[in-house]
Amino acid sequence: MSALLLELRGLAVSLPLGRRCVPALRGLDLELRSGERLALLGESGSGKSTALLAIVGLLPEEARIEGLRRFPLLGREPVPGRDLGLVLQDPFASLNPVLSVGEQIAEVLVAHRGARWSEARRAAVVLLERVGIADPERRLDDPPHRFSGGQRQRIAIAVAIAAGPRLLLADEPTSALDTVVQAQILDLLDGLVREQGTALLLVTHDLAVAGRIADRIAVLYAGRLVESAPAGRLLRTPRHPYTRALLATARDLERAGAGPLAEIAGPPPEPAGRIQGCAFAPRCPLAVDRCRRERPLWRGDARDGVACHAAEP
Amino acid sequence: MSPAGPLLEVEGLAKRWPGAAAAAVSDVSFTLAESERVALVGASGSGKTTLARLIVRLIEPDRGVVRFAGRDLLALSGEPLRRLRAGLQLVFQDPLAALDPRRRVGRQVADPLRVHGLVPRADRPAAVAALFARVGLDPALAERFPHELSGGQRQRVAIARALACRPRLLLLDEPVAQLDVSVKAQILNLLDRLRREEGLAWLLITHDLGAARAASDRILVMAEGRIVEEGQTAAVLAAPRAPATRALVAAELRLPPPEPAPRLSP
Repeated sequence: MSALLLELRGLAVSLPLGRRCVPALRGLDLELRSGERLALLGESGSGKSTALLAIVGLLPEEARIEGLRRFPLLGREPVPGRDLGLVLQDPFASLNPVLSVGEQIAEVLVAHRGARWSEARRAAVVLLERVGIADPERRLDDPPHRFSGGQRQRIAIAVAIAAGPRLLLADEPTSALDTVVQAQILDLLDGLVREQGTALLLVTHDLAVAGRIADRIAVLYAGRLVESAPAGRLLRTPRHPYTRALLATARDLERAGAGPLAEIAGPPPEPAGRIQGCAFAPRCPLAVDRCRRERPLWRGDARDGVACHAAEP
Repeated sequence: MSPAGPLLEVEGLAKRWPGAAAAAVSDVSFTLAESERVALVGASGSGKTTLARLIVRLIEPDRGVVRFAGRDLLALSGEPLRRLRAGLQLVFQDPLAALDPRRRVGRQVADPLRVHGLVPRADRPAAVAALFARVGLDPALAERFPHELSGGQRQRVAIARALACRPRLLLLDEPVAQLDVSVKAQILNLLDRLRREEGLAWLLITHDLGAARAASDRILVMAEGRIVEEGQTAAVLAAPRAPATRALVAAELRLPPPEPAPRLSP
């Protein structure tokens, strides 16, 4: 097994909401090894984006953070942009609208790798070509709005990988794109991290996206992991009732429609709500009294396990 | 036009934006029957959203005819247009953008009841409560503001508001694209129940083949402003012919086949 790159132990984050502080993560244990590709899967409010921001160190100042976050290979505080690359759902949010795409890529190399502008510009051409932008030399001086949504995401990826980070973090990088462009961007990410041996942490709500690109999938619900396993196994034989329910719905959407889709009853947990027992119990078809009383502990190790009274570990 | 004719007829609809090299929509024709579920799919830039806007006349076409319930939508104006259009309601991708952030959602669902004079003032709270119940929302949520609701709840509010006009046709523009899988299924099931109970027809505009599969019987595939393929949804997606349809089907991510589930014992 390769070296440990990232370790989270009991990471809990509360975010300010109005005058209150609302728990977004309630104790997350996670590990990621060098070159590994992990999908953090969850729905709105599961805490997946908070987890990503906590890992990068970009939570708002008022956030309350507890627990351990450690990068054994990257020193005390890894630098975003240099050690950690970041790709967001909306490339407009990560790209500067008034700088040319060439400048934005070159800037990373100048700031983090001590390159001179002339050589950074040449490197930017190579990077644009690698992420599939045609005619990169001519496009270098164009601003982001001259590119399509899919091309902008390619450019955002070029910026994220420019400094050669050990870990690339991507938050729903394809959910604003149509299916055809989504497939292209996932192919690109897949190729880049394989070539470079970069580790990837992909945050998504989409099981098929996770299955396309990840070696391992960790499922978040209400701020805690409910299941983690190698991707193929998790998608073929999910253990946690929540994962199973999500998969049943996703598979119904793959089949020709006859009758209603499998549904998870009831709403997701309210962010500010108190949780007693298992957070999924109110929606779980298998819940018994114990589930409502007593929070199921994690059974398994940091890479492969499940938190459920009913599931076999 | 006999009452048995199609609910929606689109004939030779065309739109080219000033200065654009190619038409956004060129010569599009199709019909949609009462209670029929039709999906309009295509990649971004294929013209599907422009087509939807032309149909409801949010933008004016260069050419073409749109008939709704046998009447020419493009020839009408003023009150008759407004009355006819009440029967054709839009539901957008982002309900947060479609709802007024400063007004309680119950009042927003009541708007069409007031504007179209459908329900006398005294009966409106009860009518709103009934609409909330129909879309599976707790009527107590009527007092909340849009930002106090989840994405799925907001989309239910948008659907309740569309239903307030007692429409015969919904134009659904990516109604589940921003929703999580579990909420997506709830909304698609809700729409299906409404159709069975009330005979609603819809045109579902989407790039998501899963949504098209679940919520349409017939599919229209658009590329470069034209309808390039049309047929029964299951048949078209199982054996796509047009290059654009093939590209959409090929790009769809599929899950690996399941294995028998492990035994669960609480």
